[in-house]
Amino acid sequence: MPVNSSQRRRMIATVNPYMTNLFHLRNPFIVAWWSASFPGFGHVLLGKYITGFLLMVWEVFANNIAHLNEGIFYSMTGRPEAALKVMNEEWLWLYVTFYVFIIWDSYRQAIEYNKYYILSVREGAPIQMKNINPLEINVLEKRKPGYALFWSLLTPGLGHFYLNRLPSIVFGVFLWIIIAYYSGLYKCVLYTVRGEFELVSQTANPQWFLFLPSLYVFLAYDSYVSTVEYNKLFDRELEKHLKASYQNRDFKMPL
Amino acid sequence: MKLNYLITTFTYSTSLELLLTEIEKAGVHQTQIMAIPMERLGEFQTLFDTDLSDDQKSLLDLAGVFGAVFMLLGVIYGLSLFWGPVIWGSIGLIFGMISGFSVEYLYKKKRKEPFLKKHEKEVVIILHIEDSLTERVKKIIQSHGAKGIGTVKK
Repeated sequence: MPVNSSQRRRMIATVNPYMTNLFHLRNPFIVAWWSASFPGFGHVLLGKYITGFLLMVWEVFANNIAHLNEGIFYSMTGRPEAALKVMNEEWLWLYVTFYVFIIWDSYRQAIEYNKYYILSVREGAPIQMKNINPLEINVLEKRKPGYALFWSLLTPGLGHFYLNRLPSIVFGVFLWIIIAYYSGLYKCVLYTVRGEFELVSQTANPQWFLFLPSLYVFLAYDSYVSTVEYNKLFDRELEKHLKASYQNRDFKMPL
Repeated sequence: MKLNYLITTFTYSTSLELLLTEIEKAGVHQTQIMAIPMERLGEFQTLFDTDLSDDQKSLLDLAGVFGAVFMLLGVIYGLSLFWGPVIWGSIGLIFGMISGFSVEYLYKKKRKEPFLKKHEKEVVIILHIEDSLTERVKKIIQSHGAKGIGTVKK
């Protein structure tokens, strides 16, 4: 019997030509931690892409005006006076309220979405599929999480190509290129490979360079986790189909 | 008419669906096919005793956390060290990912989490088909990545 979506209250996933979005279980502490490392990441992990991308733009914008990363850099290398001098107090105040709220909000949402997910599985939630339109195609398929991780580590954003999640491709690659450009990352990599280490420290811009670690690791982590969850969604969808089409009551069981 | 049972196991994949449609094309009716998806053992079990705080599903959660933290530290101190932020950042990343993974793996091994055995979810397919079709269907099944086939002849 095909699932009639109008009879169900909860949706577990939607497969759209541009991307797949779904509920799955998440550890709220991990979500909160990613929010703390870079505001917006937690919301992206939860599948709230527009909210997450807005928050990421806010983070880059406000952090740069407040010179927070530079402040962190000077503080941690034993130069607190330089840190105080470079940071903008007005903007720090504004930054902090947002920062704390974002962490709290993503933690709370993760718990609520976990409950929602469990209820929707028990309800036998439908998986909505509209996977082709004149501009794009996106099908449920089995993917290898290791490939997503590998490509993402090679160049952040490529893992999301493999996943076929268009918003993350555009936004991830865009943000990576901007931050890599202003931090002088690729120049630094070249100098490092050539062994010209004095040039590396001169080229690297601490304010921008400190964005790189969390962005780099997050995009890899996100593409890996999403591959695993998309695979589970594939299994769940196929299971529904098999139960609906290949469990005929006329089948003579070997008993 | 002589009827045989063919029993075969599969993991979920697109080729499983290709197989089902192909044997239907070969003359097996849908009512002669029984698909039994195996249950997901332990789903949500671990969730409740930890009060919704741990999904218990990923082994890379801590690797991601530690990787980002140590890479950040590597970059910060690398900016004033001789090798520079690229090398120290990479060292931090690798160190963090390995240590995070090890901590999580050992912790879950100690708690004997079932997923460490890496069970893939399976489907059992039972076919109730004519003797004349059996060999042909068996060949089709073998070419679609079945995990095993068993035949019961009457």
